[in-house]
Amino acid sequence: MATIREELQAAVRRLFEDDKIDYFLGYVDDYGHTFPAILTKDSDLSGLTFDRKSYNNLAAFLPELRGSRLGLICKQCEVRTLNVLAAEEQLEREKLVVVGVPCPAMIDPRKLSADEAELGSDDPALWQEKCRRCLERNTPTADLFVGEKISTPTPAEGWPLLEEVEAKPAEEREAWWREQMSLCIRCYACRLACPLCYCHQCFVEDNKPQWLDKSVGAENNLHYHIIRAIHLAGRCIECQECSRVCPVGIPVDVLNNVLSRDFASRFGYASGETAETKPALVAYERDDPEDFIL
Amino acid sequence: MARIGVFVCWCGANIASTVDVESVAEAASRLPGVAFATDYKYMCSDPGQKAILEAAQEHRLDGLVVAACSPRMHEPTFRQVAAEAGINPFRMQMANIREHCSWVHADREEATAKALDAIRMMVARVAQSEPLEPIKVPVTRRALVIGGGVAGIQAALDVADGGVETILVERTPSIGGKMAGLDETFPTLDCSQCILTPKMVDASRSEFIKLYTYCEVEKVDGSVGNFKVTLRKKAKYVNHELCNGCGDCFHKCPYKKIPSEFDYGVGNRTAIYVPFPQAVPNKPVIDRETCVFFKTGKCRACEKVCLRNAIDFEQEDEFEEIDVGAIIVATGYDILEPAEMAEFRYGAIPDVITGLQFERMSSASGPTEGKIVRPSDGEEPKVVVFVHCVGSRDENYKEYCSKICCMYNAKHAIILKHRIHDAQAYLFYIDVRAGGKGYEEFWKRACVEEGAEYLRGRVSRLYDENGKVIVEGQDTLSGEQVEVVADLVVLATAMVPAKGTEEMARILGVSTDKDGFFNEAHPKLRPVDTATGGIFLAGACQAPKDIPESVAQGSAAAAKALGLLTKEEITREPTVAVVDPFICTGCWNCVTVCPFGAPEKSEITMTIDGRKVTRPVSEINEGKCEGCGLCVASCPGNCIDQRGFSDDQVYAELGGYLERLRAALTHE
Amino acid sequence: MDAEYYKLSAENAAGLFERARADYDVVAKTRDANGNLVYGRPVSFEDVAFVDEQPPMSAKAFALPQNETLVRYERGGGEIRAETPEAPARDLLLFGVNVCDAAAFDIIDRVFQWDYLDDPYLARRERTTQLALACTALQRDCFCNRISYAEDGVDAVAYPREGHYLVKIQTDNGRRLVERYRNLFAEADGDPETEITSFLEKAGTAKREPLLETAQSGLAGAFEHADWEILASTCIGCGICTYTCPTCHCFDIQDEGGYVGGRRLRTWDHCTGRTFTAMPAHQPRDRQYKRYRQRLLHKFWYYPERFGPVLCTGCGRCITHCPVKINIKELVEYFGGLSDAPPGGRRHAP
Repeated sequence: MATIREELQAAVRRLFEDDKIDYFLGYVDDYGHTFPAILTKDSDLSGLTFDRKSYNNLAAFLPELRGSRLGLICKQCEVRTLNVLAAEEQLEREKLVVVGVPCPAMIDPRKLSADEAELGSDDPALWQEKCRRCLERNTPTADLFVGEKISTPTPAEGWPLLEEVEAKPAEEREAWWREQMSLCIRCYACRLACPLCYCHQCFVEDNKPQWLDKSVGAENNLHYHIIRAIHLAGRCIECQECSRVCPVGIPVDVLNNVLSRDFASRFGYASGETAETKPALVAYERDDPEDFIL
Repeated sequence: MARIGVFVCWCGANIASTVDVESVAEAASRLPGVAFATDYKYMCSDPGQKAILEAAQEHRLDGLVVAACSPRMHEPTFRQVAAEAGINPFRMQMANIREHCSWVHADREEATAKALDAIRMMVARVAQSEPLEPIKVPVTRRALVIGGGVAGIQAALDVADGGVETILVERTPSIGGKMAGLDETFPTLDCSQCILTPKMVDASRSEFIKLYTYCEVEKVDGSVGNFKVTLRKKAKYVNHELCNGCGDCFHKCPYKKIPSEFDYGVGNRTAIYVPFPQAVPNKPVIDRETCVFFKTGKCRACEKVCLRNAIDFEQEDEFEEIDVGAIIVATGYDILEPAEMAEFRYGAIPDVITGLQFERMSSASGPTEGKIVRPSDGEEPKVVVFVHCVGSRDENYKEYCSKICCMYNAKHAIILKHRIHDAQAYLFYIDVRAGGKGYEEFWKRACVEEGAEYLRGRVSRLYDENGKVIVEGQDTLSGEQVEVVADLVVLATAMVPAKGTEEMARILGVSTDKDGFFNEAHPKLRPVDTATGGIFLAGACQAPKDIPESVAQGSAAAAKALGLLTKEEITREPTVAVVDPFICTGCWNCVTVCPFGAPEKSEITMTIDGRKVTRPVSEINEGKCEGCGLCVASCPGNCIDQRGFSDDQVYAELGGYLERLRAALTHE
Repeated sequence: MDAEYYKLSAENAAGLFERARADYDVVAKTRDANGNLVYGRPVSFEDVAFVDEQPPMSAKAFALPQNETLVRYERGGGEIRAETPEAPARDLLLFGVNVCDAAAFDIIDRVFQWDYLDDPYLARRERTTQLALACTALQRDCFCNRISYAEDGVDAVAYPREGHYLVKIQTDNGRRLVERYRNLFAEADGDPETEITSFLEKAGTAKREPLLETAQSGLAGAFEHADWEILASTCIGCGICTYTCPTCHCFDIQDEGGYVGGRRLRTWDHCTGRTFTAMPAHQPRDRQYKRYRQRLLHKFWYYPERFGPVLCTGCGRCITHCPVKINIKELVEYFGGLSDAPPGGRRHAP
């Protein structure tokens, strides 16, 4: 039986041969890492793979390739992202070939030891938190599915780290956040890896007026992270890329999770469920309870 | 550095008694960017304006701050002055040191400091203000009048008289409104229908008026000069093109016991009906709710008798989009549902009726052909109690005075006496309000000549006993408890906005007051304008009004609409939103939130790295933007700014406010 | 100076740490509240982490802090008071830092004292002594073995041996450290240079095919190479590579505060970012791959051309922490003509 790697490479080769796409956005492995790659019809496809270190949310690269016919690997994280992008009219869906894959859950890179023995394990404790909550391991909206469909285990409920932080008494919790925030170096990798932070100019880059000082420090950093979380309120699809890419290990997504939970409980809303799910904070109905709406 | 002139107004004693205007002007003259500052007794007066013009020339001013009243009062005045002085009107700002300062403060020192704060803020803002030019938009020369009561009819006739096409929309099957159901009118006692029906006919015949009855306004887009209105033409199930109004259909309709809305339930109608004999258009509609064919699929009696095959059960609601330049809202009133006020026993005692029901009874063309009777037994009442202020001037219901009840109660008492000579009218009142030409004389006549008994006091209890209605109350003049054994009780119930006014306000994007009536733009100076340009008010939808007032306001609104519609183009405030296309990501939040459809989806093509990249961006249609700022606030990328309210201006203004705090912090 | 060699017993290493704490501001590897490895100020020898692994943030910040106040002002009582922060009060000892981190200072010193003398930086450097600890094994992303210059400018390097450290003193500054605590150090015996060579061979950190010498000429012709676009377009433009890099030293000058008081400060900046150099004009590199190319070529072409060494110590942080795992070493090899195979097999249309 062909491996997913072989099937994927064959499928992508066909897409190029049939002139369906200009670029393929996938993962390749080399020098001990699996990482995103933009491939063309002339690329050597032998590095193309999909494994348990295929972390990146590939939808983050869509703006760079806007206007091109594009194939991309979509695991559930990308599927939800594409739905939000579609709802926000950021997606050229007709130019995309969505290649579905069975997602075996990603291993938390912070739990990987040097020999990477964990990659072979099926212990959910080693997975990224999002994978334990995953609702669909196969790609329901795929134009082309590669590999064997797999079953999705019962999703875990809740947000363990968020709940742990919330359980702390207020003062301790504040101290915890202050500590996390003091680590931040504002490299903005969280924002740049985020497929939904697609603004051409982020508020942190504005200087007229300058909303945020450039210097780092717990207050300024918190200011940045909170505003970013609020800009993602009702939009974040919990791919956890922000936390994964953080070089100093801040669990950035805890802030987003608070808001996701609020949206779920107050509006029965989960972002990115379908492409028709309208962004919660800008959609309104005439019979909304707020009487200031004209 | 800007060269701003600051002009501090005393407003007589209004400002000067609380604010030390001279020291404020002196301090203002030392603010950065200020080239000149002075104070004057009435800045808005001719000499005041002249002083500004002279100073502008002498000191080569390029911006003005007028510290006076609210900009809602005099912004247009001083913008005009700025223009005359050769200064861009949008580099003029008013610092409101009257409503926001002198009127609400007593402490002279604090108020003076606050006035200076306000001036400092505005100076900072003007320094950041770009000169702006008004936006010119062509005008659609067509008016829409919503509501076919007397106010709406008058407005439509007057607009049409100016040669402008007018669309008159009425939601019931006929125009005429409440007035069409009235008997005689105060204070002249002329017959309501006799004076109204000619106007109704005029409206239907005018070459400039298009009548849409049984029709509702569904949606309003656009703005002053160019509204796009979607009308819902409700299915009449009768083809009015074919119908000749012969009336065979409703004579044959087997269901005759449907309480007539037009008669307030005093009379009945059929399922296919014309609401009243003088209706315009005098053609029937089928009420789907009560028609047995729509319930059971059987009957079609009307269809069978119609010689012109006008009955069409297949009809559906139709939608039509019309373009108009102005909208006159004349949606009228309803009465406060009397059954909701349990103490008046309406509905519980059949011989307790409302004033409007009394009107239908006394009307010669009404269901009783002018005979006043007790609903319980059809007997002629001999003792009739009229209760004033039912739900009006009552903190439990409506605090306001409904204005017309004193007069129509007097009229009812007179009519009663005229129809039943031995009848006695008793009127429980709080006091009689009869301000109006001939009004005082009219109620005196009821009292003195027609023998109506006025009892000053509220009704304390109403109950039925042996077929009579016992009305207890206190005569506060004699101090005695009174009890009247009445045959009939007539309630002068409060006037409230017509049902659906709230929804209409939402559709139109205009505001309502605490009682639900439409808000006028200014209570004294702009009584028929709304705050939304191009939308005017007429009649009782704005506040309780009698017929002469409603007609007057209808004409006034028509004059306002004509003033707008006779222009080739109008100028709009340039304080519109503007998108920075280089930052815009095309998320369309602005498109979603804008109530006016101003942001439009557009594209920008840029060359990056030798590659042409086209991406979606939002673009503001200046002709539609009302400058509300919703898009500015909802833009996640902060790429929308509002002219005249730019971030720079607002921040400068805030900086001006914080100056005093800064000075305190630095001990300066 | 000629190198000197000493033995420092494991026991004396602890003593050195304790005694130095009285005389120096001692920075060493330790763990933060999240359990992550950092350069910090452990209060006891037990808290010092002796591991090969590098903290995500290099030791650069001890000479070039992420925020550095250049002048502070305050307004009040009708006058404005301005003050420049004083030079550091204490000497700094970088204790047991990775060689690749210690080596970076000597490389970037050149830019801070070329032409304009950068006082705040140099004042800190003047009071810094490095006692680096050699790694026992090359890690996945490291490539210090490919950087010829590497540890030359480090004050002192300790090579872990059985029960003791072999300490090689390379600068006067290093010699002062030994002299200060002379009784803790013993003379090295045998042939220390040979011992070090075999240690490096075993650790895999011995030099081979240095990138600078072999790639620079190739890179000089690769600016227009078509594959930059395809290989570097996955760069997301974050600041991780530059901020974690021990040698990246670009900075921005910012004013913060306002009327009442405030400061002018220097903050790190990164050439891979969209807003880099936007303050005077604009970011001249209009696409992300060009910004990445700038970083690579600055390190391996422009900097050595002007200052000698490559602007890299081979620590590998920019690979380990890169969100998209762009590999600078592989790209230098590919664009420098040392390898035909682009990383991950990607290639642009010919």
